[in-house]
Amino acid sequence: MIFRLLLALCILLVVLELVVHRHSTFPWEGWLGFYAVWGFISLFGVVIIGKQLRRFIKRREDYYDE
Amino acid sequence: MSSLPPGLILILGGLVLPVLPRSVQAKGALVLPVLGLLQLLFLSEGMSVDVEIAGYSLLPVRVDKLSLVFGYIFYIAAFLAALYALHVRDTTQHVAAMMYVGSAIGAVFAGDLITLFVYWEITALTSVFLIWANRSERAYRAGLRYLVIQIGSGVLLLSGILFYFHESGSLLFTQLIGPGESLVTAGPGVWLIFLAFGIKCAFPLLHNWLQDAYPQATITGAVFLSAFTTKLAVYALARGFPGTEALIGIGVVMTLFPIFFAVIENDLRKVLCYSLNNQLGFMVVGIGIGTELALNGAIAHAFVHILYKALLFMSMGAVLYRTGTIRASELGGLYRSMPWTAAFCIVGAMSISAFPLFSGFVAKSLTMSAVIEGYYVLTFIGLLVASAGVMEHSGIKIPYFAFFGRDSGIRCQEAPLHMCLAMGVAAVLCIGIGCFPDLLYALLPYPVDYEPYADFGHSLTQFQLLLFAALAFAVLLRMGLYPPEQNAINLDTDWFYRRLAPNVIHSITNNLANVTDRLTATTRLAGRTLMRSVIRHYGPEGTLARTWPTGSMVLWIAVLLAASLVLYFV
Repeated sequence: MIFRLLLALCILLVVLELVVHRHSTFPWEGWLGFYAVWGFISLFGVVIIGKQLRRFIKRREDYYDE
Repeated sequence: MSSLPPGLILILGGLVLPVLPRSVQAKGALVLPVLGLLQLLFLSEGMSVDVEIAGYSLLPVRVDKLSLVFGYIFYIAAFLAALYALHVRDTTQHVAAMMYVGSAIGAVFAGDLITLFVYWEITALTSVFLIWANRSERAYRAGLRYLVIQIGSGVLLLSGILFYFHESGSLLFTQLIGPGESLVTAGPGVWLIFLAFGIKCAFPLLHNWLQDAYPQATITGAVFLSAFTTKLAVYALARGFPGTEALIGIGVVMTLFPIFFAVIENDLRKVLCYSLNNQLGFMVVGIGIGTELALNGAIAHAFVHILYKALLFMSMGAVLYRTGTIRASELGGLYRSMPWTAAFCIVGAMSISAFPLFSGFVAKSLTMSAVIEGYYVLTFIGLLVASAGVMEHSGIKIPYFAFFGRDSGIRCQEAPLHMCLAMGVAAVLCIGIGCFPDLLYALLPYPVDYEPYADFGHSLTQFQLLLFAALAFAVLLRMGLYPPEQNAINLDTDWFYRRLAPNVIHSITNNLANVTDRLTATTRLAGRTLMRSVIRHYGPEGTLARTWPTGSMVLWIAVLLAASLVLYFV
């Protein structure tokens, strides 16, 4: 339910971009949906990379207590 | 009243607190920031107090817009934290907190480097008690590490000051790298001061004292700590190193690396520390760009950050206070028991994520505009990733895993009234500044010619960035790709001094002990062999100790005589 609401909101935000004029300095920044796609990819990437980081740095909670 | 150095009211007041009955101390600590703030209102820009000590002219007080904006927010934060700590019946914490705040305020009004150094060290010495007050073995050890690093930063600062004074002949705390110069051409004094500021500002690789110490502080102590030490460093950088290009790169790295650690961290107060580190990065970038817009952005960011970070620490503190744990793996579904705390936490989360109409947005937009204005393309891209990262750990993870998500089954009371009040005021300020940014802009050191809501497209793209990031989070959860919270810790650079260095020293001492043992054994063997041969020759049975018969002696004398006779003739 919440997921669908979020999805609908996201789609609405992209549609709004067609109507609203927005100012862009860098050309790629003006592409339709640039911020949407970049936001999605960034969080996705951060979580996946963070997850991999666990392989190297995860230790037991009492690691330093020994 | 205006001749009193700002901050002194809190330092002296803190010393008086122990005299009060224990039940009144917390209220006393609440009154002190109010008095301090009143004093600040009497101060006017351009005021200064100078003294001459042993031929050196010092400027213990200097009032300008940069000092004042930090003074205001420090007092507001101190009041909120003291209100939050109204239930605390621990003299140590109240005294330490007030003296800590007082010295931080003294430091931002210090006009010369020596005064800055003195306050710099007092903040370190007093704040450590907010960690030790937890009175656990872990807190004690973490506090010691914190103290060593903070005092170390002070020692670097002092040696830097001495070098700098030798080079320039001035003790005035002003821009240390002139326009057209850079760190590369600067002398060792400036370098040392830069490093001292960098440690306190948690630069990459110098950062880990923050994540190590703050989560070990008391519930209320962490709220105080989150506001002052690192923002004092931001102030010092803004004063001494505006426009230092190196800071842009340092800042971008600072915004990026903590977000990966925050994803997998289980201790939610530690997640907030990584988030704090990431936020400092935005400010450091602003200072590095150094234009009026960028500096305004950095300082506005520090201002609003103090409020929403304190708010987030308060909400997580309330959770810890009521449930006794702050591990994400053990929490969840608390919105049923603590709806107010949950709501305040969400306001803090939306502020830090910089949703339009919340305080983070109106501050961060200044810095982002300065980045765009200066055509720093890579920096811009990096900061966008970092913004999505903020959304992940502070915007979603903190409220989601504490108050929603899987129901932990914990049923507890709502946070006490004074805690809710403190969080409520902070939340109102977060929304108020977000809706009426001119209130904040009026306090900034440079005139602000910027309207965050003038271009609706800007708000729209920000909404897109944040909500699509939220969508990514939801997708990851649904796909089962989101890393589950686990009872575990993650190594960071503290491993080098908590594990590697002790191990190396241990092995060196072990080896040394081995060498000593071997040397002792060899010497003993040599001694024994020597003694044995001495005994063989001179001992009771030895050849040289034997009693010889007279006959053989006569024979030998005859031989000697014969030999001398032969020699005589030759």
